[in-house]
Amino acid sequence: MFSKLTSLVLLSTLLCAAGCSDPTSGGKGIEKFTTWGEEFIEDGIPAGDGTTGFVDGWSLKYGKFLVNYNAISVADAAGHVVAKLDKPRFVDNVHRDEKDLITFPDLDAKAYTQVSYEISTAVANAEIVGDADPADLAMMVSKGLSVYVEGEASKPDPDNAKKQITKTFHWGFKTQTSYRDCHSAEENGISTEGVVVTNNQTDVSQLTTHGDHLYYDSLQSGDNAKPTSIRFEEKAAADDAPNGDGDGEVTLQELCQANIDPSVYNTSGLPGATIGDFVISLARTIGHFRHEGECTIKRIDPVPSGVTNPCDEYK
Amino acid sequence: MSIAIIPRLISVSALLSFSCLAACSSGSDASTTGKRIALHTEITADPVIQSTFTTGFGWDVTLSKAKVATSAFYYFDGPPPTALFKVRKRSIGERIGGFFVGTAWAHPGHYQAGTALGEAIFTAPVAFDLFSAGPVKLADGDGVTGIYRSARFVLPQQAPADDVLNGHLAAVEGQAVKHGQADAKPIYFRLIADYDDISMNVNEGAVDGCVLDETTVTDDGTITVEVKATIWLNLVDFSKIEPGTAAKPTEARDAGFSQGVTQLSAYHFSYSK
Repeated sequence: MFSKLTSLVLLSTLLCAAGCSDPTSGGKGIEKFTTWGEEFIEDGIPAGDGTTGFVDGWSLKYGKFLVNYNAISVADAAGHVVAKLDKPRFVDNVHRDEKDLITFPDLDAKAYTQVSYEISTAVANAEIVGDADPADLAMMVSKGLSVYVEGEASKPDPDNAKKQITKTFHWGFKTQTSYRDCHSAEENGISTEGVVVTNNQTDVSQLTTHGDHLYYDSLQSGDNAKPTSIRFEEKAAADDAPNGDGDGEVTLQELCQANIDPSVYNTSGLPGATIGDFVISLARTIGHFRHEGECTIKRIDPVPSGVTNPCDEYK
Repeated sequence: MSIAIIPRLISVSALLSFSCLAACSSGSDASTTGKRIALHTEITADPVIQSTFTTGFGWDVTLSKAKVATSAFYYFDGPPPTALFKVRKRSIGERIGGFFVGTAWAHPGHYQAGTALGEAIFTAPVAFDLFSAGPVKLADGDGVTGIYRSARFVLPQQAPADDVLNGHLAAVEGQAVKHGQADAKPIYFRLIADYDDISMNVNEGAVDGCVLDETTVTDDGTITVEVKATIWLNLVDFSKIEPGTAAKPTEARDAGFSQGVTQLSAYHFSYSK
């Protein structure tokens, strides 16, 4: 016990010494922002144990994962903005590998604790990143979308092991969301607020999109909460009678007719009571920072008159 | 190493890290963090339940009784997994129908309570009547100064003696009519939840990650918990409950109700001087 405490004291002293020095002071550096959809968006989501893949036997492959990034901003602790995105960036993260969004050169080498961005309605003058399709941008603009996903989900037919049940989906989201005060995920107990620009170096911040969030069954979290899993069964069932048309295509409108089963889903008090309401709310959580890092997420689109639940905007 | 030792080591480590931060800082934070303070405790109910409200499943609900048992509150500096944003003022009808619109967006599974800053632990479980007139004072708690951001609401294993609870941890009575069918025969209900029911959703009866309006606490004050029974009932499917009568409502357990009682958004904490 004593030796463990001694080790902790030594470790903390070392951290202290590291924390008090400022290796970034002086000089200029570069901050680059990129985006990536990770394997779940590029390769698909397999069946799994609920965290590694769908808990209910489904697997899924995206055909498109379109995102409109906006207002990427870097500021110091005092809120002084030193760099801001000139115009929105439009990306299809199904396309492989990390894609450059913007590079901010000639920044003073120091810590910038306030990093933020938005995922907002696509606009016609957005800069198309990578080999995203201009026709997709036009579609997003005409429909007032900020995020659009399409793909195909399947699972073995329980009545015939040689067959697959397949459902397609094309979901466009109007959600506009700000991601503020971004910080990296903890590494060795330390999470960095914002970014640290160092002299003569390029620091890269990836605005990661998480393709599995749309399928979470709960947002409740903490040591005492039931673990969150990803599920597709209830989305697939929404296409079937009595609320769906059984055509093999799961629409947002069908999801908005499918009531949440509270023995399966926990909406954590988010608006609405249908699978569609929950999926639309979850669409705001896809944006991340440096892989598993997070930002404070807030709705920025005004709530239209008469709208109570997310599905009300998709009728 | 025993399990009991681990949290102590973590506490020691956290304390050492805190000392490190204090040493590196200019001193502005040092004066506002770590002083012991008294935290009085109050519990109150969202007044929306005084009138008929519409649930997520589209039922107009009028409550006549609502009680919940609690045994402790804990306060933390970790930000809650949900935050609140301000929405424009809306009509009363919109507000009653849309009491969830102010909820912002969470990241699943990423809530970390952080450092415990305070607590109110009751010597015996308390039964709170949501129809009480005004806030009810509970036993005082204590804590340390710092930035308060989230809280834990604890439901006890055993219910306190109470005529309405009658051995259950939460109970509501009232009537429900499908929205838009005001002439339909009401469903008279009494919904109950026990420890086993809520354990389908949370461990140890602990509802983690409740919003505590972010406040830099520098002195003694009062922590007030607002209980939102509208959240408890949002996902209750009343069509599955026998109609009952006003004199003899149908007593039922319901997955939506027991989940609702464990929703972090059903308990909103705030600090005042």
